[in-house]
Amino acid sequence: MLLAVASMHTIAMAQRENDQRTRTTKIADLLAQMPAKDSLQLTANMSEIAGIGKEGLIEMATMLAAPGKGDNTSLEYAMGGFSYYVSQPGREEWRQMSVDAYCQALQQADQEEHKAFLIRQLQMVGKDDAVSCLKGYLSDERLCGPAAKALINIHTSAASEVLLQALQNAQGECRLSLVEALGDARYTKAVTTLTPLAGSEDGKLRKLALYALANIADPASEAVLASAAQKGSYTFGNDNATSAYLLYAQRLAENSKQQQAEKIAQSLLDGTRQDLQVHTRTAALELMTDIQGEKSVALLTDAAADKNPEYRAAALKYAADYITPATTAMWVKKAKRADPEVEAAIITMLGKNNAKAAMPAVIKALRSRNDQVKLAAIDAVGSMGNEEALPKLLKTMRKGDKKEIDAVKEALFIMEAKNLTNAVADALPKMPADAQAASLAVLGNRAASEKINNVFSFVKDENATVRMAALTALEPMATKENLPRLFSLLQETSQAEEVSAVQNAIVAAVRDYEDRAQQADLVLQQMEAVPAEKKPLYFSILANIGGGKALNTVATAFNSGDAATKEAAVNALAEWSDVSAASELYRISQATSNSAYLDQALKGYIRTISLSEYPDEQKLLKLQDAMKLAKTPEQQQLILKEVAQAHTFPALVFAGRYLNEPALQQDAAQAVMNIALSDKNFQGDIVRELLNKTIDVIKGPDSEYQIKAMQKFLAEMPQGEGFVALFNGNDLTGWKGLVDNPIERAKMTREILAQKQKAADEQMRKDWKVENGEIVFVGKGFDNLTTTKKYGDIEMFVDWKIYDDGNKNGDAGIYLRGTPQVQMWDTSRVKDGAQVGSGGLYNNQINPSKPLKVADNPLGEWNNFHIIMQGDRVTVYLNGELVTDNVILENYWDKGLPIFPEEQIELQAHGSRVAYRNIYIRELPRPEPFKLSTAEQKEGFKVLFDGTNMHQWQGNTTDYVIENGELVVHEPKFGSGGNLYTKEEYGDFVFRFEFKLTPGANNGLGIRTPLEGDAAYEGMEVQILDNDADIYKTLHEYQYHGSVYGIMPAKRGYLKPLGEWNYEEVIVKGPKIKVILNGTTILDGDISGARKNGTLDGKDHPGLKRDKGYIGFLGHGSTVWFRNIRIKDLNKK
Amino acid sequence: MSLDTTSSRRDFLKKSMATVAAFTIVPRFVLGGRGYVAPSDQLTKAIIGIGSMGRNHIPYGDTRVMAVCDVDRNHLKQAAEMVGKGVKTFADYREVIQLPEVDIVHIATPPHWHGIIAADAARAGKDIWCEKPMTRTIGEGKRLVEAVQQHGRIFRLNTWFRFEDIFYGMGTPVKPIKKLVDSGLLGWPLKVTVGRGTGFDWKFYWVGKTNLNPMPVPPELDYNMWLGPAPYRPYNPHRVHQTFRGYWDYDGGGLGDMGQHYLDPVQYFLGKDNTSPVSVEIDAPQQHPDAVGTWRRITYTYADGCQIVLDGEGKAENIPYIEGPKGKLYPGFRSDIPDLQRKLAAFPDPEPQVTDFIEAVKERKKFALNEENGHRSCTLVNMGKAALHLGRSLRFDPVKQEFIDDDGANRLINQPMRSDWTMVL
Repeated sequence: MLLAVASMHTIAMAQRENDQRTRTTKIADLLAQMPAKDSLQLTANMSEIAGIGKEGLIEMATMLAAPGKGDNTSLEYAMGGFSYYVSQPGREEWRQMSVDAYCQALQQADQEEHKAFLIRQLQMVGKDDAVSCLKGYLSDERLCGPAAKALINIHTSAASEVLLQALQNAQGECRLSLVEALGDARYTKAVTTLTPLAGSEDGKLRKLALYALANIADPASEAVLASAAQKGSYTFGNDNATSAYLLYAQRLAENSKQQQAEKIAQSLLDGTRQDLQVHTRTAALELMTDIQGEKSVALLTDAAADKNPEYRAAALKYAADYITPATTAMWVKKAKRADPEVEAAIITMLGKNNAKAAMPAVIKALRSRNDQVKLAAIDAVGSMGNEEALPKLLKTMRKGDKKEIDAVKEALFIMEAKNLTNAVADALPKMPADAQAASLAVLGNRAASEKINNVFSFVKDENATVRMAALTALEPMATKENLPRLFSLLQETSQAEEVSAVQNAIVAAVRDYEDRAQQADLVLQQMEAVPAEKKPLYFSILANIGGGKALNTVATAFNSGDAATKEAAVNALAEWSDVSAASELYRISQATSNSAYLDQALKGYIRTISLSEYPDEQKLLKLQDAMKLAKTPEQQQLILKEVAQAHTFPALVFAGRYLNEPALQQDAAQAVMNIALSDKNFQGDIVRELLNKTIDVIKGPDSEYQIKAMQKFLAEMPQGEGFVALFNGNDLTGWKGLVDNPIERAKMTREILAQKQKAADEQMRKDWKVENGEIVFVGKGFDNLTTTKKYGDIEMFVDWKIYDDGNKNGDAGIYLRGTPQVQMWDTSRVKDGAQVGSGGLYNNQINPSKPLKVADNPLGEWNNFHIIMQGDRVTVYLNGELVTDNVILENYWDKGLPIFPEEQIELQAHGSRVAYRNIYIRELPRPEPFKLSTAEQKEGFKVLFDGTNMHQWQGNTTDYVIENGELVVHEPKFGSGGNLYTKEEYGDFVFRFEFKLTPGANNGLGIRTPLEGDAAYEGMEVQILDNDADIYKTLHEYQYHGSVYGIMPAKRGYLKPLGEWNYEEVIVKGPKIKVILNGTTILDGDISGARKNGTLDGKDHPGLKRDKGYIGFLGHGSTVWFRNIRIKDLNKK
Repeated sequence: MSLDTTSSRRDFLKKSMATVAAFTIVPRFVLGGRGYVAPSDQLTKAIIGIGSMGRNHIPYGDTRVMAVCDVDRNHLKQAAEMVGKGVKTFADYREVIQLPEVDIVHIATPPHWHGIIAADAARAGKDIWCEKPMTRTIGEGKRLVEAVQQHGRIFRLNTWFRFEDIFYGMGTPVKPIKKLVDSGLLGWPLKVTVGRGTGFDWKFYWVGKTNLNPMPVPPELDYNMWLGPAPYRPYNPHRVHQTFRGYWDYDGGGLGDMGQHYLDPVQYFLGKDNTSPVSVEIDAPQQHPDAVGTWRRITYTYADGCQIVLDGEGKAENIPYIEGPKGKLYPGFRSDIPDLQRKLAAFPDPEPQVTDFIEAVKERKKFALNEENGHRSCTLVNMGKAALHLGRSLRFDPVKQEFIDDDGANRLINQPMRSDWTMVL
């Protein structure tokens, strides 16, 4: 991160130092970069604006187009962004510059909208320096408001003075703005001018003048404000006079004029006794409380007994800030003498505020004859928490009515008191039924495991409420010790709700065992022992615990049980705790003819998929399966809602198929939108068409925005057809039969090829059929189906399925560039090694041929490949899992050749029945391969790397990869990144290449090296190094870039800046080595001396003695790019 | 004496009670007890802002709609048809809040009006049910809190996930989450990530348009009144009604719309109802000064180290919703803590909340989501908006409720309003 900032900075600085561009060009360049994509770029852009300076800002302002006559967007980004930027600390110089610029631009601007825009900038950046230029706009009807706002934000006496002067002659809206502004500025000098306006006939003006006078709070305004409030009967009026009066009093208090403020508060308290004025009286009470602080408690206690309940409630609210033992005593005293309603409210207030000193009084109130008081006391005891009060509380419960029992229960839920559960348990037997139920709930809620026996004694109580309360309390309390008792209880319980409570308790208790398998075994063992009709009671317990054995048991029960067993089993499966029940649920959905079972199982299946951790691709396959079985729109809608969460291209297409079905249209539309908008890489005609259709049909409260979002997405989508369907779902258009292999085909004459193609097509029509939107191989033997078109770099999706032939011969694959193959096979073919799974590059000899993991779905189920091929590399995702990671596909037809640059794609048939569907392909832009210049051709150079393949290379072809036609080694996750060698050996040669470094990058060009050992010593290493990096400042000169490591130093200082390409030529001839970097010879030496006399680094370099070897890139853990690599072998004549 | 045919419940009360010497007026909340709603005891309301959102408020809270108010005549017509005979229609909210027959004022205008109307309603002695986001700026929020409390009003914000319903993508109500957080099983401090990966869609596509052409104002709309306190800008239909959220003058895009829904519950279960974060960091493209744009990430940090991360684009999948040093919680109450439910059962439930607004009004109790905690959760939204708007990370003083050492940011806290709309205290 630090590095990025630093490099950004250097680039910006570098640009400025040698910048020859005119101001207009600079502005144009700058505007092209608006808006900045992040804060880093924003900072850079803003520094650019600062660099262009005042004239630049003024020029930008003059570029603003009249409304409707052009696009000001990037100008607004630039200037608005600059205003925000300079408003932060440390930018004072630029802020002043911007004020200067905006003020000058204001004078030149002719459009009102532009002036308003510039004034808004001054509102953000202006200080006293903006006052004089804003002043002029205070007399302009349209711009007075904005200018006044800007001056309010400036908030200095100079700004206020200007506002006051402008007020003398102002009219209309402008006058309103100024009056308000003066009030906001609290400009005392304005009082005399404002006072007459407070009596204006114009309600708006009066309102603002009253507000301004109140906010300024000059004692001279008292009479005006008081009379206006009184005139408004101390209630709300459009002139807000009462509020202004209150504000005035508040400001007085803030200005250390408490006495006057208090007087106003008192007069309001006295003068607003009508109920319609209660809110004003309340405000006065608050004002008074604020002024008097703790001394207001007397007032508050009186207010708490007022006849108006709203006022009473307010008084109790304000009291909270002043609770002390002394004031608590006052409140207690008040409560005793008050009406029960008031007494209750006071007790509640004391309880809420934890007024411990009130405890004796509250305990006493538990015995009150008044219900309200009693309930308040119960609540208060609960929230204050007190052990001594516990017995009293329990007594209240024992003797109380339903309401009181509930209140005590709630209090006991939250009360902090030691021994609470003991006390509750002890009191249980003597409680009446309702209180027993409540007490049991308390024990459960507080998870009092040690009291579970007390609860057990009520699980068979005659009273249903008590019984249910006891059973419910068991779950949070139960431990493994209670299991035997719970199991027998399950046996003896019959009513559904009660059964479920016991089941929950058993699940909780079983969970005490750490081991999952043990949990299931325990329950299964128990289940074994009970009669058949009781077994279903255990299903939901098993569903909660999960595991293979549990699943088998429940699944078997569904298959063989009676109706009741079946129902319980399918319910349990549908609620299974993990994804393992999916296939069983699917099987039931598929097989059952009972629509209730289907509904239950299918919904369970969808739920399971939704909860699973499957990759989106896998989820989609499962949801497609589900869709085939869905019978009702409700089920289908449920599926589409899940599809919407799978953000893949095939999911987008799948959802799009339902846009025309009325019942599913809206869910499909939501899904299409959700998926498409989740990834900018979803591009092309298919996406375009689906989004346009969605825009047409989508409805709902947010549809307006959603349509806008989709339109925006479409507008920003790059041109191009993107993914296209390789298979139209109906017939084999676009496909043909297979003729021989690419090499043989290339040798054939056009006539022969045409003839063979005709025969092959005929065979194809026998072997391949289209059924239900799937391509199925029905033939025998080998007969690939091939695209009529040739493809180079591609991204494709294809679903495939191998049928179970019973002989474990299932085998197929996808040929890329006419070459075998991305493997697909029956993973049970262990004799052939198929247990490694599908998706590997089966025919690779040198590069990896096995997938990284097994991600196959069972035989007979659909799988999905997501294949990306770029250059000679292939990446494969199987069912969303990465199985082949950027691996070279070798040329099977001729090992001496790299993979063909383009060829047909083939769906392989290998004797067994196989099906394909949903085939989509996108052609990727392909880098132009590097070609030798005519001169180099004549001289006998040979290309080692042209940007499309790594056929000339060996060694670490995993960390060295091709990106955008460049050879790149990325900073490895571990190790040094390893070495990449030529396939051939070279002695004397001219090696030309280009390279690009990252900060601190380190690599090396090995020459005359063996394939093993440290190339710098076993061969020689010509350094490739960002030797200007700080970390390398202590290097020896024989370690600089271009040096023959440890042997001969090179000249430093000829590397291009980081991020630019360097061109280097290394000439090796006998003992002579020459390195030319960017046109400068930085090394021209002879190793003969070192051979004889030893090396600079004093180390042994056996490589000095070698006269040939491999050339290689020697990785040292950093990211480096190479390109255009060619060699002239001087030993070959 | 002629009969007043529009005689309201209050008039009736006044007249009948006038004969009883001991009382002048019996307040509505004394009649009948809890759970009993006599027709004469049913609370009444007026809805201000009766566009698509305001019409949702018609059935809220088992109260009777007495009046509706809007600056668009078409909205008024539609609403009047929905409510039925007898409902009064207004174009100016100040007339509505003075109707004696109205107990509660519902505010469903765009957010730039919320502060003013709610504060005026408080001054007129009305209780308030206000749409989210509570206010458009932090300053307006502070003033509204003061106005509501000064006049002793009951206020509720119209989001509810802190106390009821399944909380969007979480697949669970907030109560068990609160319980879990309070239990300490996850450890402390916590990091909460709110974004598509955890089931919350920020509607990042709710953005404004730049370079809009001025258009004539349609005859049914009082555009000047629609703008109210907001700066004057030429009319374009995209600036008003359903798409106004795309402009900083009125709201803040998807963050403005969904922000308080998602953040209020988080603030609640983190126990931050009385405070605000000390910093907000952003990762976003530069914002246009007028039109709201998209953003990638907003990170709030509280003084104790708790963090809330808003993941705008939602690229991160399978991330925990809450992450603490001792454990993680994923949507659907999944956790890496084994046997969580059972461990949790041993802890007490969170304190009950007052979740019936009618009860709160009648008994003058503070509603679960009120002006104070609502203002704090709206401050999260408004802090994020300020940082986005300015394009920089900001530090905040949660006591003074001001940004630290940043004049520009503080100019966004109290934005001057257009005359004659002011939030007079």
